[in-house]
Amino acid sequence: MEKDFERLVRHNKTTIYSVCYMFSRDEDDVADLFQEVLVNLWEGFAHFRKQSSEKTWVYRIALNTCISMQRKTKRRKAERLEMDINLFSDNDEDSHQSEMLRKRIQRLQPFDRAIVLLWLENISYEEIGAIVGISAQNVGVRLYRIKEQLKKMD
Amino acid sequence: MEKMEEMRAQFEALNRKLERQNIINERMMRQVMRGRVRTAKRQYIISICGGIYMLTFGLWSLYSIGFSMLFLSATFVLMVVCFCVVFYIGGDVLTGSLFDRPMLEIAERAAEKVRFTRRWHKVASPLVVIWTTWLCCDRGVEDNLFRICALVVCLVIYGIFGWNFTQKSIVSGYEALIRDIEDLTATQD
Repeated sequence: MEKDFERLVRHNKTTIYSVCYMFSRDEDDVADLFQEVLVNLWEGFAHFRKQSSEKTWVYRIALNTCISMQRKTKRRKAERLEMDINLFSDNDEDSHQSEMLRKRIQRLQPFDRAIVLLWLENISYEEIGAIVGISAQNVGVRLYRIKEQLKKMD
Repeated sequence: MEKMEEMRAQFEALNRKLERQNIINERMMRQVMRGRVRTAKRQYIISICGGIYMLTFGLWSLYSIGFSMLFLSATFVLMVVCFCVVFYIGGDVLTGSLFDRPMLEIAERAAEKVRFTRRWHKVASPLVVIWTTWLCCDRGVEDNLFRICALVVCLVIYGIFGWNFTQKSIVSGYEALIRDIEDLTATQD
């Protein structure tokens, strides 16, 4: 089971990290969220029935964890695990572009942030709906509103 | 539309960057899988153990003071009900057992719990008043006035903390979630 979990995490590491990054304010936040998502993935892994695809399941847990953690005013202090990556302090072009995207997405409501992230990942409206719990048609309407909102922002 | 395309290009840049990086290290994986990181589940188990301890210790204290069996039985039932209610309300939040479900399903469950909590507060407040009145009138009160007063003071403090905890930590958390979901589902109208 441990080997399977390790494979799942390694296979979906960019997905997990990008969700955590979009819901964070700084490097410490990313590390906290990443750790929390890994713990929730591990705790739910034994019950993962593969009714949905692996990626959908990872997205669901990562987004629900990040939204839930963001809502908590006081986060509990857990032993923090060191990460080998820090997009906040890197100065290359890709990091700069990523930071611009994060700042843009951060201005949206948490659920809109989730929908945009899934759309950016090229996930179908049906799958986005399954993750969030709304109809595919509703996803389309919501995305249209988000696009309008983003236009007004800049 | 241009803005969304620009965001897509930025997202690709992020993925490119992440693919090149070593995000997960061995130590991190080991610690998560061995449960060395403090988890909500562990806190939940500790809370249950604390509740069971309080239940037995509280009843033993009342018994040693010399209260009637009828009062002790009523207290036991009341404590068990309170214990079950608290864990029904907070269980999902504490264990994170809902994390692999769709967001809307989580919100519906949250709404159900907020409604339940509000109804429970309406029932619990008169029950506490009745119980406290009974406590002050039951046999053995005259000989143990100081201990009874101390017990009532402890109960009031515990009640204030308990109320504060359920209101702030659980209900306000659920309510924030419901507000977000109402906004999300508004597009369905």
